[in-house]
Amino acid sequence: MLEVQAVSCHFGGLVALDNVSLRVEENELVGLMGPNGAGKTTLFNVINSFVPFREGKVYLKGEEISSLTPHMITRKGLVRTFQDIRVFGWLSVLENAEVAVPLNRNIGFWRGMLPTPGARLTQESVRQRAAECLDLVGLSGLSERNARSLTFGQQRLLGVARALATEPDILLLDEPSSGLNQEETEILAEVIREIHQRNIAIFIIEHHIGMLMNLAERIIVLDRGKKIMEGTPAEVREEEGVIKAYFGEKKKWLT
Amino acid sequence: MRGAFLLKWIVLTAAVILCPIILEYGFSYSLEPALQAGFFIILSVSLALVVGLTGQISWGHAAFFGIGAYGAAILATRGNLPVVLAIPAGTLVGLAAGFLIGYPVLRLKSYYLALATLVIGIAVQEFFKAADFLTGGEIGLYDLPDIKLGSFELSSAFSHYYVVWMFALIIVFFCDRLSKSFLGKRLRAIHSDEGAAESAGIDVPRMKLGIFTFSAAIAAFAGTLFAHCSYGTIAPGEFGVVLSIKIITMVVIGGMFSVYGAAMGAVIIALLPEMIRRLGDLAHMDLTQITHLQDIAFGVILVIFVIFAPQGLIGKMRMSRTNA
Repeated sequence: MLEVQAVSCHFGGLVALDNVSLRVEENELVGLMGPNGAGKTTLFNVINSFVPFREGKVYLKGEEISSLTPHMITRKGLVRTFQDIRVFGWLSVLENAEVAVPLNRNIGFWRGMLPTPGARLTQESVRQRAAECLDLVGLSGLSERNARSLTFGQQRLLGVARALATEPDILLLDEPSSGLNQEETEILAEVIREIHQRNIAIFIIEHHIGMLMNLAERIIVLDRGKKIMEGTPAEVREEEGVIKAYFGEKKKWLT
Repeated sequence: MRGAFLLKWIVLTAAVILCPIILEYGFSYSLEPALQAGFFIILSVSLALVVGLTGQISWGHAAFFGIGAYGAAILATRGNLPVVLAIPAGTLVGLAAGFLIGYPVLRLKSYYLALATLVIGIAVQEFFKAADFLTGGEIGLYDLPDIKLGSFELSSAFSHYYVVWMFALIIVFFCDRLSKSFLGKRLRAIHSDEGAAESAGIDVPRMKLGIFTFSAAIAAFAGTLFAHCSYGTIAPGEFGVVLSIKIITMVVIGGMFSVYGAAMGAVIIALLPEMIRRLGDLAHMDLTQITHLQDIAFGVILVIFVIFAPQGLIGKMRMSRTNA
Protein backbone atom coordinates (compact mmCIF):
# COMPACT_ATOMS: atom_id res chain seq x y z
CA MET A 1 0.00 0.00 0.00
CA LEU A 2 2.53 2.57 1.20
CA GLU A 3 6.25 2.24 0.70
CA VAL A 4 8.87 4.70 1.90
CA GLN A 5 12.26 4.09 0.31
CA ALA A 6 15.48 5.46 1.81
CA VAL A 7 14.06 8.88 2.58
CA SER A 8 16.33 11.52 4.09
CA CYS A 9 15.29 15.03 5.00
CA HIS A 10 17.45 17.90 6.23
CA PHE A 11 16.52 21.28 7.63
CA GLY A 12 19.69 23.30 7.28
CA GLY A 13 22.26 21.29 9.20
CA LEU A 14 19.67 19.32 11.15
CA VAL A 15 19.03 15.79 9.96
CA ALA A 16 15.30 15.22 10.51
CA LEU A 17 15.10 11.90 8.69
CA ASP A 18 18.07 9.70 7.94
CA ASN A 19 17.66 6.99 5.32
CA VAL A 20 14.25 5.78 6.52
CA SER A 21 12.57 2.89 4.72
CA LEU A 22 9.31 1.25 5.69
CA ARG A 23 6.18 -0.37 4.33
CA VAL A 24 2.54 -0.39 5.34
CA GLU A 25 0.57 -3.22 3.77
CA GLU A 26 -3.08 -3.23 2.77
CA ASN A 27 -5.51 -3.18 5.70
CA GLU A 28 -2.61 -3.11 8.12
CA LEU A 29 -2.57 -1.04 11.31
CA VAL A 30 0.98 0.13 11.92
CA GLY A 31 2.16 2.25 14.82
CA LEU A 32 4.99 4.76 14.74
CA MET A 33 6.65 5.70 18.00
CA GLY A 34 9.68 7.49 19.25
CA PRO A 35 10.65 10.33 21.55
CA ASN A 36 9.91 13.97 20.83
CA GLY A 37 11.91 15.26 17.91
CA ALA A 38 12.48 11.78 16.49
CA GLY A 39 11.09 12.89 13.12
CA LYS A 40 7.68 11.23 13.29
CA THR A 41 5.64 14.21 12.11
CA THR A 42 8.35 15.09 9.59
CA LEU A 43 7.93 11.60 8.14
CA PHE A 44 4.20 12.26 7.71
CA ASN A 45 4.95 15.65 6.18
CA VAL A 46 7.32 13.99 3.73
CA ILE A 47 4.82 11.27 2.82
CA ASN A 48 2.02 13.70 1.98
CA SER A 49 4.40 16.23 0.37
CA PHE A 50 4.04 19.00 2.93
CA VAL A 51 7.83 19.07 3.18
CA PRO A 52 10.01 18.81 0.11
CA PHE A 53 12.79 16.27 0.24
CA ARG A 54 15.49 15.33 -2.18
CA GLU A 55 16.64 11.90 -1.20
CA GLY A 56 14.50 8.79 -1.36
CA LYS A 57 11.12 7.91 -2.81
CA VAL A 58 7.58 7.34 -1.61
CA TYR A 59 5.24 4.92 -3.36
CA LEU A 60 1.49 4.58 -2.92
CA LYS A 61 -0.08 1.46 -4.39
CA GLY A 62 3.05 1.00 -6.49
CA GLU A 63 2.95 4.51 -7.92
CA GLU A 64 5.58 7.08 -7.04
CA ILE A 65 3.99 10.03 -5.26
CA SER A 66 7.11 11.93 -4.17
CA SER A 67 6.60 14.76 -6.66
CA LEU A 68 2.84 15.15 -6.25
CA THR A 69 1.18 17.98 -4.32
CA PRO A 70 -0.73 17.16 -1.10
CA HIS A 71 -4.21 17.39 -2.64
CA MET A 72 -3.20 15.00 -5.43
CA ILE A 73 -1.94 12.51 -2.86
CA THR A 74 -5.21 12.79 -0.95
CA ARG A 75 -7.12 12.15 -4.17
CA LYS A 76 -5.01 9.04 -4.74
CA GLY A 77 -6.16 7.62 -1.44
CA LEU A 78 -3.67 8.70 1.23
CA VAL A 79 -4.86 11.21 3.80
CA ARG A 80 -3.43 12.48 7.06
CA THR A 81 -4.67 14.23 10.19
CA PHE A 82 -2.80 16.87 12.15
CA GLN A 83 -1.37 16.89 15.62
CA ASP A 84 -2.69 20.44 16.09
CA ILE A 85 -6.10 19.43 14.67
CA ARG A 86 -6.71 22.27 12.16
CA VAL A 87 -10.48 22.08 11.63
CA PHE A 88 -12.04 24.56 9.20
CA GLY A 89 -13.16 27.25 11.64
CA TRP A 90 -15.28 29.12 9.09
CA LEU A 91 -17.42 26.06 8.38
CA SER A 92 -19.97 24.05 10.30
CA VAL A 93 -19.18 20.55 11.54
CA LEU A 94 -21.06 18.93 8.66
CA GLU A 95 -19.47 21.26 6.11
CA ASN A 96 -16.02 20.32 7.40
CA ALA A 97 -16.69 16.78 6.27
CA GLU A 98 -18.61 17.79 3.13
CA VAL A 99 -15.75 19.71 1.52
CA ALA A 100 -13.55 16.62 1.89
CA VAL A 101 -15.96 14.23 0.11
CA PRO A 102 -14.50 13.71 -3.39
CA LEU A 103 -17.91 14.02 -5.05
CA ASN A 104 -18.28 17.61 -3.77
CA ARG A 105 -15.69 18.72 -6.30
CA ASN A 106 -18.22 17.94 -9.04
CA ILE A 107 -19.90 21.16 -8.01
CA GLY A 108 -17.66 23.61 -9.81
CA PHE A 109 -18.17 27.07 -11.04
CA TRP A 110 -21.22 26.77 -13.27
CA ARG A 111 -23.03 24.14 -11.25
CA GLY A 112 -22.40 26.23 -8.17
CA MET A 113 -24.24 29.18 -9.67
CA LEU A 114 -26.96 27.24 -11.47
CA PRO A 115 -28.38 24.52 -9.26
CA THR A 116 -29.45 21.98 -11.87
CA PRO A 117 -31.31 18.82 -10.78
CA GLY A 118 -28.04 16.92 -11.21
CA ALA A 119 -26.26 19.33 -8.90
CA ARG A 120 -28.99 18.86 -6.28
CA LEU A 121 -28.58 15.11 -6.42
CA THR A 122 -24.83 15.45 -6.04
CA GLN A 123 -25.38 17.75 -3.09
CA GLU A 124 -27.63 15.20 -1.42
CA SER A 125 -25.19 12.32 -1.79
CA VAL A 126 -22.27 14.46 -0.58
CA ARG A 127 -24.28 15.44 2.48
CA GLN A 128 -25.19 11.83 3.13
CA ARG A 129 -21.61 10.67 2.78
CA ALA A 130 -20.39 13.43 5.14
CA ALA A 131 -23.10 12.58 7.66
CA GLU A 132 -21.99 8.93 7.65
CA CYS A 133 -18.45 9.99 8.51
CA LEU A 134 -19.69 12.17 11.37
CA ASP A 135 -21.83 9.30 12.54
CA LEU A 136 -18.84 6.98 12.66
CA VAL A 137 -16.96 9.31 15.03
CA GLY A 138 -20.11 10.07 17.00
CA LEU A 139 -20.53 13.74 16.08
CA SER A 140 -23.77 13.51 14.12
CA GLY A 141 -25.68 15.35 16.83
CA LEU A 142 -23.46 18.42 16.40
CA SER A 143 -23.48 18.72 12.61
CA GLU A 144 -24.95 22.23 12.48
CA ARG A 145 -22.57 23.68 15.07
CA ASN A 146 -19.62 25.82 14.10
CA ALA A 147 -16.47 23.71 14.10
CA ARG A 148 -14.68 26.12 16.43
CA SER A 149 -17.37 25.76 19.08
CA LEU A 150 -16.52 22.09 19.60
CA THR A 151 -14.40 20.89 22.50
CA PHE A 152 -10.80 19.92 21.86
CA GLY A 153 -11.63 16.21 21.82
CA GLN A 154 -14.58 16.73 19.48
CA GLN A 155 -12.43 18.77 17.11
CA ARG A 156 -9.95 15.92 17.00
CA LEU A 157 -12.70 13.46 16.12
CA LEU A 158 -13.90 15.91 13.48
CA GLY A 159 -10.39 15.88 12.03
CA VAL A 160 -10.64 12.10 11.74
CA ALA A 161 -14.11 12.34 10.19
CA ARG A 162 -12.86 14.87 7.65
CA ALA A 163 -9.96 12.60 6.70
CA LEU A 164 -12.34 9.69 6.39
CA ALA A 165 -14.63 11.72 4.12
CA THR A 166 -11.89 11.82 1.48
CA GLU A 167 -12.51 8.07 1.04
CA PRO A 168 -8.93 7.00 1.72
CA ASP A 169 -7.25 3.62 1.35
CA ILE A 170 -4.72 4.57 3.99
CA LEU A 171 -5.11 6.98 6.88
CA LEU A 172 -2.18 8.64 8.63
CA LEU A 173 -3.07 9.73 12.16
CA ASP A 174 -0.70 12.17 13.87
CA GLU A 175 -0.97 11.71 17.64
CA PRO A 176 -4.75 11.46 17.68
CA SER A 177 -4.96 11.02 21.45
CA SER A 178 -2.78 13.94 22.54
CA GLY A 179 -4.70 16.32 24.76
CA LEU A 180 -7.62 13.94 25.18
CA ASN A 181 -8.89 12.65 28.53
CA GLN A 182 -9.26 8.97 29.38
CA GLU A 183 -12.84 8.70 28.17
CA GLU A 184 -12.15 10.52 24.92
CA THR A 185 -9.11 8.35 24.29
CA GLU A 186 -11.25 5.23 24.65
CA ILE A 187 -13.80 6.60 22.19
CA LEU A 188 -10.98 7.39 19.80
CA ALA A 189 -9.51 3.89 20.03
CA GLU A 190 -12.94 2.49 19.26
CA VAL A 191 -13.26 4.81 16.25
CA ILE A 192 -9.85 3.73 14.97
CA ARG A 193 -10.81 0.06 15.27
CA GLU A 194 -14.03 0.76 13.43
CA ILE A 195 -12.19 2.51 10.60
CA HIS A 196 -9.72 -0.33 10.37
CA GLN A 197 -12.56 -2.80 10.00
CA ARG A 198 -13.60 -0.96 6.85
CA ASN A 199 -10.44 -2.16 5.09
CA ILE A 200 -8.60 1.10 5.49
CA ALA A 201 -4.90 0.80 6.33
CA ILE A 202 -3.82 2.95 9.27
CA PHE A 203 -0.42 4.39 10.06
CA ILE A 204 -0.53 6.04 13.46
CA ILE A 205 1.86 8.18 15.49
CA GLU A 206 1.00 7.79 19.15
CA HIS A 207 2.47 8.82 22.47
CA HIS A 208 -0.13 6.86 24.38
CA ILE A 209 1.87 3.64 24.38
CA GLY A 210 -0.81 1.53 26.00
CA MET A 211 -3.27 2.42 23.28
CA LEU A 212 -0.71 1.78 20.56
CA MET A 213 0.21 -1.64 21.94
CA ASN A 214 -3.44 -2.62 21.95
CA LEU A 215 -4.26 -1.34 18.49
CA ALA A 216 -1.23 -1.88 16.30
CA GLU A 217 -0.33 -5.05 14.46
CA ARG A 218 3.21 -3.83 13.92
CA ILE A 219 5.22 -1.00 15.44
CA ILE A 220 8.07 1.03 13.98
CA VAL A 221 10.35 2.93 16.33
CA LEU A 222 12.07 6.09 15.19
CA ASP A 223 14.81 7.99 16.98
CA ARG A 224 16.80 11.00 15.82
CA GLY A 225 15.57 10.46 12.30
CA LYS A 226 16.58 6.81 12.13
CA LYS A 227 14.45 3.71 12.20
CA ILE A 228 15.87 1.77 15.12
CA MET A 229 13.39 -1.05 15.43
CA GLU A 230 10.39 -2.69 13.87
CA GLY A 231 8.27 -5.55 15.17
CA THR A 232 5.06 -6.72 16.77
CA PRO A 233 3.92 -4.94 19.94
CA ALA A 234 5.17 -7.91 21.95
CA GLU A 235 8.60 -7.72 20.37
CA VAL A 236 8.86 -3.99 20.97
CA ARG A 237 7.74 -4.44 24.55
CA GLU A 238 10.49 -6.95 25.14
CA GLU A 239 13.21 -4.86 23.62
CA GLU A 240 14.54 -3.45 26.86
CA GLY A 241 17.00 -1.20 25.10
CA VAL A 242 14.29 0.60 23.20
CA ILE A 243 12.19 1.02 26.25
CA LYS A 244 14.95 2.24 28.53
CA ALA A 245 16.48 4.54 26.02
CA TYR A 246 13.36 6.19 24.77
CA PHE A 247 10.60 5.80 27.27
CA GLY A 248 12.37 5.84 30.62
CA GLU A 249 12.97 3.13 33.19
CA LYS A 250 9.43 2.75 34.40
CA LYS A 251 7.90 -0.17 32.63
CA LYS A 252 4.45 0.51 34.04
CA TRP A 253 3.88 2.81 31.07
CA LEU A 254 3.58 -0.19 28.89
CA THR A 255 1.03 -2.13 30.80
CA MET B 1 -38.15 29.51 2.82
CA ARG B 2 -38.49 29.53 -0.92
CA GLY B 3 -41.43 31.95 -0.74
CA ALA B 4 -39.52 34.31 1.53
CA PHE B 5 -36.58 34.27 -0.87
CA LEU B 6 -38.82 35.07 -3.81
CA LEU B 7 -40.56 37.84 -1.87
CA LYS B 8 -37.23 39.38 -0.89
CA TRP B 9 -36.17 39.55 -4.51
CA ILE B 10 -39.50 40.91 -5.72
CA VAL B 11 -39.37 43.71 -3.13
CA LEU B 12 -35.73 44.41 -3.96
CA THR B 13 -36.37 44.56 -7.70
CA ALA B 14 -39.41 46.79 -7.21
CA ALA B 15 -37.35 49.14 -5.02
CA VAL B 16 -34.61 49.28 -7.62
CA ILE B 17 -37.12 50.05 -10.38
CA LEU B 18 -38.99 52.70 -8.40
CA CYS B 19 -35.98 54.42 -6.82
CA PRO B 20 -34.97 56.69 -9.75
CA ILE B 21 -38.57 57.56 -10.51
CA ILE B 22 -39.12 58.72 -6.95
CA LEU B 23 -35.77 60.54 -6.86
CA GLU B 24 -36.37 62.33 -10.14
CA TYR B 25 -40.06 63.20 -9.92
CA GLY B 26 -40.51 63.23 -6.16
CA PHE B 27 -37.42 65.16 -5.07
CA SER B 28 -35.89 66.27 -8.38
CA TYR B 29 -32.69 64.79 -6.99
CA SER B 30 -29.66 63.72 -8.99
CA LEU B 31 -29.41 60.04 -9.96
CA GLU B 32 -25.64 60.18 -9.59
CA PRO B 33 -25.30 58.56 -6.13
CA ALA B 34 -27.78 55.84 -7.05
CA LEU B 35 -25.88 55.04 -10.24
CA GLN B 36 -22.62 54.99 -8.32
CA ALA B 37 -24.15 52.60 -5.77
CA GLY B 38 -24.82 50.19 -8.65
CA PHE B 39 -21.15 50.20 -9.67
CA PHE B 40 -20.06 49.88 -6.06
CA ILE B 41 -22.29 46.85 -5.55
CA ILE B 42 -20.66 45.01 -8.46
CA LEU B 43 -17.17 45.90 -7.20
CA SER B 44 -17.91 45.05 -3.60
CA VAL B 45 -19.58 41.73 -4.34
CA SER B 46 -16.78 40.64 -6.65
CA LEU B 47 -14.11 41.48 -4.07
CA ALA B 48 -16.10 39.76 -1.32
CA LEU B 49 -15.53 36.46 -3.14
CA VAL B 50 -11.76 36.92 -2.83
CA VAL B 51 -11.34 38.74 0.47
CA GLY B 52 -14.31 37.53 2.46
CA LEU B 53 -14.90 34.04 1.17
CA THR B 54 -11.39 32.89 0.32
CA GLY B 55 -9.48 35.07 2.79
CA GLN B 56 -7.03 36.46 0.23
CA ILE B 57 -6.56 40.17 0.80
CA SER B 58 -6.38 42.40 -2.26
CA TRP B 59 -5.72 46.14 -2.12
CA GLY B 60 -5.66 46.47 -5.89
CA HIS B 61 -9.21 45.70 -6.95
CA ALA B 62 -9.71 49.15 -8.49
CA ALA B 63 -7.01 48.25 -11.04
CA PHE B 64 -9.28 45.63 -12.64
CA PHE B 65 -12.15 48.14 -12.71
CA GLY B 66 -9.78 50.47 -14.56
CA ILE B 67 -8.47 47.77 -16.90
CA GLY B 68 -12.03 46.93 -17.93
CA ALA B 69 -12.93 50.60 -18.41
CA TYR B 70 -9.84 51.44 -20.47
CA GLY B 71 -9.97 48.12 -22.29
CA ALA B 72 -13.50 48.70 -23.54
CA ALA B 73 -13.04 52.43 -24.13
CA ILE B 74 -9.85 51.97 -26.17
CA LEU B 75 -11.39 49.18 -28.25
CA ALA B 76 -14.53 51.25 -28.83
CA THR B 77 -12.79 54.52 -29.73
CA ARG B 78 -9.46 53.58 -31.30
CA GLY B 79 -10.57 50.13 -32.44
CA ASN B 80 -13.98 51.28 -33.64
CA LEU B 81 -15.60 48.27 -32.04
CA PRO B 82 -19.35 48.59 -31.40
CA VAL B 83 -19.95 49.14 -27.67
CA VAL B 84 -21.95 45.92 -27.28
CA LEU B 85 -18.79 44.08 -28.36
CA ALA B 86 -16.34 46.36 -26.55
CA ILE B 87 -18.03 45.50 -23.23
CA PRO B 88 -17.44 41.72 -23.38
CA ALA B 89 -14.00 42.34 -24.92
CA GLY B 90 -13.04 44.68 -22.06
CA THR B 91 -14.30 42.08 -19.60
CA LEU B 92 -12.05 39.49 -21.24
CA VAL B 93 -9.08 41.84 -20.95
CA GLY B 94 -9.81 42.09 -17.21
CA LEU B 95 -10.12 38.32 -16.98
CA ALA B 96 -6.73 37.87 -18.64
CA ALA B 97 -5.19 40.52 -16.39
CA GLY B 98 -6.67 38.81 -13.33
CA PHE B 99 -5.13 35.51 -14.39
CA LEU B 100 -1.72 36.97 -15.22
CA ILE B 101 -1.53 39.01 -12.02
CA GLY B 102 -3.09 36.36 -9.81
CA TYR B 103 -0.82 33.57 -10.98
CA PRO B 104 2.37 34.90 -9.39
CA VAL B 105 0.81 37.03 -6.64
CA LEU B 106 -1.45 34.43 -5.04
CA ARG B 107 1.55 32.38 -3.94
CA LEU B 108 2.06 35.11 -1.37
CA LYS B 109 0.23 35.23 1.94
CA SER B 110 -1.08 37.86 4.36
CA TYR B 111 0.92 41.12 4.36
CA TYR B 112 3.11 40.08 1.45
CA LEU B 113 -0.02 39.56 -0.62
CA ALA B 114 -1.46 42.86 0.65
CA LEU B 115 1.72 44.69 -0.32
CA ALA B 116 1.98 43.05 -3.75
CA THR B 117 -1.64 43.81 -4.68
CA LEU B 118 -1.26 47.38 -3.41
CA VAL B 119 1.83 47.94 -5.55
CA ILE B 120 0.22 46.38 -8.62
CA GLY B 121 -2.80 48.62 -8.11
CA ILE B 122 -0.56 51.68 -8.06
CA ALA B 123 1.48 50.45 -11.03
CA VAL B 124 -1.63 49.92 -13.15
CA GLN B 125 -2.85 53.41 -12.32
CA GLU B 126 0.57 54.87 -13.21
CA PHE B 127 0.37 53.01 -16.50
CA PHE B 128 -2.98 54.68 -17.26
CA LYS B 129 -1.34 58.04 -16.56
CA ALA B 130 1.82 57.36 -18.56
CA ALA B 131 0.57 55.55 -21.68
CA ASP B 132 -0.69 58.73 -23.37
CA PHE B 133 -1.04 57.22 -26.83
CA LEU B 134 -3.49 54.61 -25.51
CA THR B 135 -5.15 56.05 -22.45
CA GLY B 136 -5.05 59.80 -22.99
CA GLY B 137 -2.72 60.26 -20.03
CA GLU B 138 -3.81 62.27 -16.99
CA ILE B 139 -6.86 63.66 -18.79
CA GLY B 140 -8.07 60.22 -19.74
CA LEU B 141 -10.66 59.41 -22.40
CA TYR B 142 -13.87 61.32 -22.98
CA ASP B 143 -16.88 61.44 -25.28
CA LEU B 144 -17.11 57.68 -25.01
CA PRO B 145 -20.05 56.22 -26.93
CA ASP B 146 -23.12 54.88 -25.14
CA ILE B 147 -24.52 51.39 -25.58
CA LYS B 148 -26.52 51.11 -28.80
CA LEU B 149 -29.15 48.44 -29.26
CA GLY B 150 -30.09 48.64 -32.92
CA SER B 151 -31.05 52.26 -33.49
CA PHE B 152 -31.83 52.77 -29.81
CA GLU B 153 -29.15 54.53 -27.80
CA LEU B 154 -29.00 54.13 -24.03
CA SER B 155 -27.88 57.65 -23.29
CA SER B 156 -30.21 58.97 -20.59
CA ALA B 157 -29.36 58.90 -16.89
CA PHE B 158 -32.38 56.63 -16.41
CA SER B 159 -31.18 54.03 -18.90
CA HIS B 160 -27.68 54.10 -17.39
CA TYR B 161 -29.13 53.48 -13.97
CA TYR B 162 -31.35 50.61 -15.11
CA VAL B 163 -28.64 48.84 -17.08
CA VAL B 164 -26.09 49.06 -14.26
CA TRP B 165 -28.56 48.01 -11.57
CA MET B 166 -29.92 45.16 -13.65
CA PHE B 167 -26.42 43.72 -13.93
CA ALA B 168 -25.75 44.49 -10.26
CA LEU B 169 -28.80 42.44 -9.21
CA ILE B 170 -27.88 39.58 -11.55
CA ILE B 171 -24.33 39.53 -10.20
CA VAL B 172 -25.51 39.63 -6.57
CA PHE B 173 -27.89 36.75 -7.28
CA PHE B 174 -25.30 34.47 -8.88
CA CYS B 175 -22.44 35.35 -6.54
CA ASP B 176 -24.70 34.61 -3.60
CA ARG B 177 -25.51 31.21 -5.09
CA LEU B 178 -21.82 30.60 -5.70
CA SER B 179 -20.85 31.52 -2.14
CA LYS B 180 -23.39 29.09 -0.71
CA SER B 181 -22.53 26.20 -3.04
CA PHE B 182 -19.91 23.53 -2.37
CA LEU B 183 -17.47 25.67 -4.31
CA GLY B 184 -18.08 28.45 -1.81
CA LYS B 185 -17.61 26.02 1.07
CA ARG B 186 -14.29 24.85 -0.38
CA LEU B 187 -13.21 28.48 -0.62
CA ARG B 188 -14.15 29.01 3.04
CA ALA B 189 -12.14 25.91 3.90
CA ILE B 190 -9.16 27.58 2.19
CA HIS B 191 -9.86 30.73 4.20
CA SER B 192 -9.80 28.65 7.40
CA ASP B 193 -6.59 26.71 6.78
CA GLU B 194 -4.84 26.30 3.42
CA GLY B 195 -2.71 23.33 4.46
CA ALA B 196 -5.64 21.42 5.90
CA ALA B 197 -7.66 22.25 2.78
CA GLU B 198 -4.91 20.76 0.60
CA SER B 199 -4.88 17.60 2.65
CA ALA B 200 -8.67 17.39 2.35
CA GLY B 201 -8.14 17.04 -1.41
CA ILE B 202 -8.79 20.66 -2.38
CA ASP B 203 -6.58 22.08 -5.12
CA VAL B 204 -5.81 25.29 -3.24
CA PRO B 205 -3.67 27.19 -5.80
CA ARG B 206 -6.10 26.47 -8.61
CA MET B 207 -9.15 27.47 -6.57
CA LYS B 208 -7.52 30.71 -5.43
CA LEU B 209 -6.47 31.61 -8.97
CA GLY B 210 -9.92 30.71 -10.32
CA ILE B 211 -11.85 32.90 -7.92
CA PHE B 212 -9.35 35.77 -8.25
CA THR B 213 -9.65 35.67 -12.04
CA PHE B 214 -13.45 35.53 -11.89
CA SER B 215 -13.51 38.41 -9.45
CA ALA B 216 -11.20 40.48 -11.67
CA ALA B 217 -13.44 39.78 -14.66
CA ILE B 218 -16.53 41.02 -12.81
CA ALA B 219 -14.71 44.17 -11.68
CA ALA B 220 -13.55 44.71 -15.27
CA PHE B 221 -17.12 44.25 -16.47
CA ALA B 222 -18.18 46.99 -14.05
CA GLY B 223 -15.40 49.09 -15.58
CA THR B 224 -16.71 48.58 -19.11
CA LEU B 225 -20.13 49.79 -17.96
CA PHE B 226 -18.48 52.71 -16.21
CA ALA B 227 -16.94 53.73 -19.53
CA HIS B 228 -19.99 53.25 -21.70
CA CYS B 229 -22.98 53.44 -19.42
CA SER B 230 -22.20 56.42 -17.22
CA TYR B 231 -20.83 59.88 -18.02
CA GLY B 232 -18.70 58.82 -20.93
CA THR B 233 -15.43 59.95 -19.40
CA ILE B 234 -12.74 57.99 -17.62
CA ALA B 235 -9.56 59.32 -16.01
CA PRO B 236 -6.74 57.54 -14.14
CA GLY B 237 -7.57 59.34 -10.89
CA GLU B 238 -10.73 57.28 -10.56
CA PHE B 239 -8.96 53.92 -10.47
CA GLY B 240 -6.52 54.42 -7.63
CA VAL B 241 -5.83 53.12 -4.17
CA VAL B 242 -8.59 55.28 -2.67
CA LEU B 243 -11.19 53.32 -4.62
CA SER B 244 -9.58 50.01 -3.61
CA ILE B 245 -9.78 51.07 0.03
CA LYS B 246 -13.41 52.05 -0.44
CA ILE B 247 -14.23 48.62 -1.91
CA ILE B 248 -12.55 46.82 1.00
CA THR B 249 -14.49 49.05 3.40
CA MET B 250 -17.74 47.99 1.73
CA VAL B 251 -16.86 44.30 2.13
CA VAL B 252 -15.87 44.74 5.77
CA ILE B 253 -18.93 46.81 6.67
CA GLY B 254 -21.28 44.25 5.16
CA GLY B 255 -19.70 41.21 6.71
CA MET B 256 -16.96 39.18 5.11
CA PHE B 257 -18.88 36.07 4.15
CA SER B 258 -22.12 37.51 2.96
CA VAL B 259 -22.64 38.62 -0.61
CA TYR B 260 -25.78 40.50 0.46
CA GLY B 261 -23.71 42.16 3.18
CA ALA B 262 -21.13 43.30 0.65
CA ALA B 263 -23.93 44.77 -1.48
CA MET B 264 -25.34 46.56 1.56
CA GLY B 265 -21.91 47.94 2.44
CA ALA B 266 -21.63 49.24 -1.12
CA VAL B 267 -24.90 51.16 -0.86
CA ILE B 268 -23.83 52.70 2.45
CA ILE B 269 -20.44 53.78 1.10
CA ALA B 270 -22.08 55.19 -2.03
CA LEU B 271 -24.53 57.30 -0.05
CA LEU B 272 -22.10 58.36 2.69
CA PRO B 273 -20.36 61.18 0.73
CA GLU B 274 -23.77 62.62 -0.09
CA MET B 275 -24.74 62.64 3.58
CA ILE B 276 -21.41 64.17 4.56
CA ARG B 277 -21.79 66.80 1.88
CA ARG B 278 -25.13 67.80 3.36
CA LEU B 279 -23.58 67.97 6.83
CA GLY B 280 -20.68 70.02 5.46
CA ASP B 281 -23.07 72.41 3.76
CA LEU B 282 -24.85 72.96 7.04
CA ALA B 283 -21.48 73.73 8.69
CA HIS B 284 -20.59 76.13 5.82
CA MET B 285 -17.54 74.10 4.79
CA ASP B 286 -16.00 74.57 1.36
CA LEU B 287 -15.61 71.79 -1.19
CA THR B 288 -12.00 70.82 -0.30
CA GLN B 289 -12.87 70.56 3.36
CA ILE B 290 -15.85 68.38 2.54
CA THR B 291 -13.70 66.11 0.35
CA HIS B 292 -11.19 65.70 3.16
CA LEU B 293 -13.99 64.99 5.60
CA GLN B 294 -15.32 62.30 3.26
CA ASP B 295 -11.92 60.59 3.05
CA ILE B 296 -11.51 60.71 6.82
CA ALA B 297 -14.99 59.24 7.27
CA PHE B 298 -14.07 56.11 5.26
CA GLY B 299 -11.02 55.48 7.38
CA VAL B 300 -12.92 56.04 10.61
CA ILE B 301 -15.76 53.76 9.55
CA LEU B 302 -13.36 51.00 8.49
CA VAL B 303 -11.56 51.16 11.84
CA ILE B 304 -14.79 51.25 13.83
CA PHE B 305 -16.12 48.19 12.04
CA VAL B 306 -12.89 46.24 12.29
CA ILE B 307 -12.77 46.86 16.04
CA PHE B 308 -16.42 46.68 17.07
CA ALA B 309 -18.12 44.59 14.42
CA PRO B 310 -15.59 42.46 12.54
CA GLN B 311 -18.46 40.19 11.55
CA GLY B 312 -20.06 43.13 9.72
CA LEU B 313 -23.62 44.37 9.60
CA ILE B 314 -25.04 41.05 8.43
CA GLY B 315 -23.18 39.25 11.19
CA LYS B 316 -24.48 41.71 13.79
CA MET B 317 -28.01 41.29 12.53
CA ARG B 318 -27.78 37.49 12.67
CA MET B 319 -26.40 37.64 16.19
CA SER B 320 -29.15 39.87 17.49
CA ARG B 321 -31.69 37.58 15.84
CA THR B 322 -30.31 34.46 17.52
CA ASN B 323 -30.04 36.25 20.85
CA ALA B 324 -33.64 37.42 20.69
